[in-house]
Amino acid sequence: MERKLGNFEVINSLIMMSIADIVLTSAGILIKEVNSASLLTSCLISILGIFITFIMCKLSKNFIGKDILNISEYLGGKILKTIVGFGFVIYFILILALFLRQTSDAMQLIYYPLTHIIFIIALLSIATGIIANFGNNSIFKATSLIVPFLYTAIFLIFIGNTKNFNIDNMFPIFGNGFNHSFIKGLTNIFTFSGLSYLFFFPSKLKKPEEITKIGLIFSILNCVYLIFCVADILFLFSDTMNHSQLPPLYISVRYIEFGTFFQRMDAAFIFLCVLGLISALNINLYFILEILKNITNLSDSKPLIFPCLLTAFGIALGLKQDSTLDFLENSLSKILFIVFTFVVPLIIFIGAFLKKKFKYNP
Amino acid sequence: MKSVLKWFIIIMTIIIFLYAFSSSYYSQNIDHLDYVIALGIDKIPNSDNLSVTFEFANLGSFSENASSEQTEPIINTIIAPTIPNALTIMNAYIGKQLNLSHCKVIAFSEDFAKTGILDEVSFLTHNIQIRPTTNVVITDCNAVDYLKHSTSSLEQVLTKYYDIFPTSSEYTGYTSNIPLGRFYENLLDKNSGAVSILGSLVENADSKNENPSSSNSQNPDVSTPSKSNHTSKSSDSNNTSKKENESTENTITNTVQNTRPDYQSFDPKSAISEGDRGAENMGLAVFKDDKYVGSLSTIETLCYSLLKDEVDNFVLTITSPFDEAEKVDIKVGDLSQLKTDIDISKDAPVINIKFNLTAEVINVLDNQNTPYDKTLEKLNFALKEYLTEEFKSYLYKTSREYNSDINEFYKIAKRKFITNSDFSNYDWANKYEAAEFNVEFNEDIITTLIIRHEGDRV
Amino acid sequence: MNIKELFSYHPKQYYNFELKPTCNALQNFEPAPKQNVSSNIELNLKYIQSKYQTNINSDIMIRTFNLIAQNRTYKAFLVYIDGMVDSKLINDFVLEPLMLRSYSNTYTKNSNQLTSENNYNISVKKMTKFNLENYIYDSLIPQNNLTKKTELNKLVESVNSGNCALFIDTLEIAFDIDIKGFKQRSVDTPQNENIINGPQEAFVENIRVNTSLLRRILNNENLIIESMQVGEISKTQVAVCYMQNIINPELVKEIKYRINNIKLDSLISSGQLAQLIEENEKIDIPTLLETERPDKCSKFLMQGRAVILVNGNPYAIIAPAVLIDFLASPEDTNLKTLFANFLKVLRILAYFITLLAPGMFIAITGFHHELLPTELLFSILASREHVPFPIIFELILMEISFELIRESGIRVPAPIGATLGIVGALILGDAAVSAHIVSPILIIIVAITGLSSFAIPDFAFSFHLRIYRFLFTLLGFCAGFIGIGAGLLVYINMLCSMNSFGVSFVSPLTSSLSTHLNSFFIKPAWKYEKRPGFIQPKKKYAQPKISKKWRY
Repeated sequence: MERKLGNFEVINSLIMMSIADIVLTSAGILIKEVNSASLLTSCLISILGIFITFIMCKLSKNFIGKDILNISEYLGGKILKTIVGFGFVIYFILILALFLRQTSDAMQLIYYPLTHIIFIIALLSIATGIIANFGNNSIFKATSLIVPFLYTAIFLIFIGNTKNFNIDNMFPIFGNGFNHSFIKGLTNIFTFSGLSYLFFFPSKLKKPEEITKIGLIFSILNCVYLIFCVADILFLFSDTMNHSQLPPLYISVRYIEFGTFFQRMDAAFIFLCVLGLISALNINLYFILEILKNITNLSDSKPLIFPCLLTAFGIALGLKQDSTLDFLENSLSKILFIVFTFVVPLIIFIGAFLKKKFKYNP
Repeated sequence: MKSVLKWFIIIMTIIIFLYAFSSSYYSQNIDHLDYVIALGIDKIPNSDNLSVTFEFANLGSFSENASSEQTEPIINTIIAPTIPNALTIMNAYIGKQLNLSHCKVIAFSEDFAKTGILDEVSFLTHNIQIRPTTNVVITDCNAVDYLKHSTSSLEQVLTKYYDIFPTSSEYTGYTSNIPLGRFYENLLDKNSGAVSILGSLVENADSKNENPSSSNSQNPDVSTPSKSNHTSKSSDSNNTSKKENESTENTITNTVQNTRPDYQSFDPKSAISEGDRGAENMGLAVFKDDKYVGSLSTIETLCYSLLKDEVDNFVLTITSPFDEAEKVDIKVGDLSQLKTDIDISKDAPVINIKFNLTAEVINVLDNQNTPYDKTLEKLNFALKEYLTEEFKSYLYKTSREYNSDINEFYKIAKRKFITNSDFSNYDWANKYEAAEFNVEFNEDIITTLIIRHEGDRV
Repeated sequence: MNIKELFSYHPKQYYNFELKPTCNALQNFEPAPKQNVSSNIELNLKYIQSKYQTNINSDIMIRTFNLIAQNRTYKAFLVYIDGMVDSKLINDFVLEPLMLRSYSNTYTKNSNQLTSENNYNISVKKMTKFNLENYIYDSLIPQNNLTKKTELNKLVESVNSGNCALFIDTLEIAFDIDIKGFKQRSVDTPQNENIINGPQEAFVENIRVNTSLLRRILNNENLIIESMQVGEISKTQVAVCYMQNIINPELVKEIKYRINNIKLDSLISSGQLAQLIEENEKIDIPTLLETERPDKCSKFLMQGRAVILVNGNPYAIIAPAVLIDFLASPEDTNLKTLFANFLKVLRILAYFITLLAPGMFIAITGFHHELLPTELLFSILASREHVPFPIIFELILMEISFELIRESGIRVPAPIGATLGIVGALILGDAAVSAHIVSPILIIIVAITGLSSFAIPDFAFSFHLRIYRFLFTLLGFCAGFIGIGAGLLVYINMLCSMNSFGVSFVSPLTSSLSTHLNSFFIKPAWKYEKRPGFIQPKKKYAQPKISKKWRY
């Protein structure tokens, strides 16, 4: 019997997904797009994110203990449930493949110049597969052990880089213009990537009625992390410093120095990040398996681990071209995030709510 | 059968992974690498080739009973069109792969810097091995000579010196810590001006060493390393002279350039008449775009450090307001730039800087029976006058002469603008040349640690 | 000498013995059929003789004698195992009363009434029917532990455990008399769990002595010690001890269920039992704590856990056990909080060093050398200049040498123990470095790793670390920090997936219960209000909020 999850574990899992995304791509994309207005934009995104999370959680409260698949089944029967489920599966597999590819690219560039990328992706995939075989309980427990360290790391990085900061990098305050920074910049809400997974947790919670509390705590923690991350990169680099293929947070860690002993702590940062990234991969895989199990009524999802990983592995290998990867990171993932995190859940929640209302009050 | 198959697959996977990753392991294993501790890049006159010098630490210096020969670093020079070519040739020459992750100093010669170094700096910055905190030095001699003369018997291990020397800026202000990352950013930004450490040979070091650049061949071949090793021993003569003469005396050799007393106008750069180390790092090199346009003297470097808040305290010597023949040594500390304000309403920006600092007189002062508060007032005034004059001279030099905003006033100016396009339209890069500066120091800058002698002359 | 013999050929004689399957192979885990004591003593005697093969079994003693009661002579015999009984007790308290004193208590109609009858007007009922069984049980044998048994199997079991069985003709029961007197080790100081500040008693092989040690510390009637048997042939006695007013009854049920459902011929050690009742078969990390200290067991009993004792083994099993328990020392609660927490942090550091130090070293020298300070890096390079082997080979060589020395240290006779230390130090240290087989830095790494493994209090737990560090070394060699990170995450997940009798192995670190029920670090003695929540004890509170009543 699957163990129910506590609030602490859920929040940590959601934060982990967001951290993985912020560290790998979204912080860098935000700063590239919005330049000196990044800090203000991230504050705005944070407020918007908290607000939207609150609304979504409030809507989902009409169906306590039910996740989005159950609600879609209620709304449109098995057909809608299957469509929504497969939609999410495809989205999560894309995210999985993207994570794999981005991580492997960075690792190959830094440490494995003579190793073919297929082996690096395979290493991460195998680690993910082995962990998935241990079962679902271990993933969330292990994540809640690792997240505090990862979360604290951003503060240490921020403090370590303080002597190199230039606060004036955040001026001009509106960056490339009000529209560009704040209207177009709002698409960077995909820094709240953990939100996509929030709607699958209610059926697994010990206290499903506390979903709003979980959502809000997650959003606030996400905001703090995002703001610190963006501030660190923005204050360290001027807007001309965006020509590297590596994650900007990793480059910022290379500047940290405490005397002559503590230098080049980026290897330690990579070590922590690998723990976090593989955890994020596992959480992602967990939800893929859960959705498939739910849709197909399988008793055990373990046999699906290998096919799912193989699919993600294949897609990750196929993302060879920089332009494809760029399109996926900058455009497609944003669109998919907005669709699957806001549009689809909103439609389902509102539809189910109306259906319930008319059912009891015709 | 199933478990046998499972174990077979596991073992095969392990072997495949071991094999796949072993190539990266062997290419990066410390046993197969040679570590460059400093790079020197010169331009070959009348040629498109570069002379790239690699300085390696002598591993013998890290053993217990290292002799003096073993402490000397190893210097090899390659002539090649670009730095990547030079790296490749050096890899082939020494047989081991070069690793730049412990490179502490990158030195460019002044002649090369004048032609523009953005490509080279860009390559070095984006090299994953090089630390962004590596120091950049522009040498007014050949980079190879600078590297050769940087050794001293004060340290057995040269890397310690390369790590520590930029930190002297915190208590002298005569140099600055310029990491490669910041240097590159400032080179790229057309509104900003880049600076780097200015390295020079100690005056009498030149006469004892042959200039290896004249002996470099014009072909993009490997230059013979034996010469470099031999010439590196020239600094030993400095050591021997030091051994002969136990006590050295710092004498002022520069002529006074103006009517100010010697102690006020002497240039610390040329104050070293005899020293163990053949190279020094006082002063800064200024860049406009990516070309070297000029240097800053030590007092100007001090002004730069003050504006950057990099110096904690420093010592100044000024004329005593009570007796022109006397000097007053003042230790200035507790510095904080009170306010920098930029007025962009006029054609040219007006930059107002207010300083707040405390100072302490550290020598015996004959105030000729002046009352205490008047003494302080006079000292205050004298110091303020001196500092204001020096600051203005420095600021106008960067503006009028170099047109290079090395103090990054443009970042403060950006606060006045709403968007990047507004700032771009202002055209700071050109307007900075006509900028006006107002420097103010707060009153009461001298503490009451004055020893007064009434009446008697010292 | 005969010349013929000198040159003759004598083929070599080979001793041929091959173990073939026996035709009388019995593989039966079903219990033997029940057989009751017969009223005919001859049948009982024959049964015992055939059961024990007394014609070949030299230490099985059968003493036949006659018992006289109420002017009748009854045949009787005692059966016991020589060496397991106290002969004096048999002589004085069994044979003497049965053989000599049975006369004096004969009662007839003509016997005088008791004097007290006259004085106190007590009417004594005259016995109308003589019951030999009750007579022997109530009046003849002055033994404190005397039971009547009807099943022959049970009697045989008792005799095997050191009791003696008394069979009387005409009776359909036999008497099981406890007169154990076998030689055993006395209570001594712990051999492998030394502490400075704390009790110095350890368990012994005898289960009854062990239970008495527990009883002496916990003088409470709620301490329940349930006995059961494991092993069809060995019939090893196993005791499950718990505090019935604290422990969760489901835990007791589960433990008893698992122990009672073990089918095997013999159970020899507590380690064997631990393996049989543990849930995690594939993962070799121990999930049950084994200890030889009664004070440690008492502490865990008071927390709401169960202790399992196995006869013949001085190690007790504590169930359930979590990760933190393997890093805790029995001394922790005896020291001041600051010292105890400092030592705990040290042990946790030792845990990570034992597991990761060699792998990290390989990873740093193979992939992440920029992490090292420049001078240290060059110093390592200088020391490795003459070493012909790659670092991984050196490391594995040194690790294996260290393990060999450790293993031989256990088995070396005491007189040459000191020599081994010198040889080991010379081989591993000085000579290897002088011969440029290894570099000095590697010796330091191996030594620190070894010392850290000794700092782990639990032997079985530190053993798994010793094995797993080789995996991490391989991962570090293969892929640097990424490999170690992936391996570490797999390891953490493995720990998180393990359960010990329904309790997550990483409790309370990742408990989804409110964490205030138990904290990771040791609290002062006056703050131990709540028992560990992950054990779900009946009695949640161990002490009131203010336990220092003298002060507040």
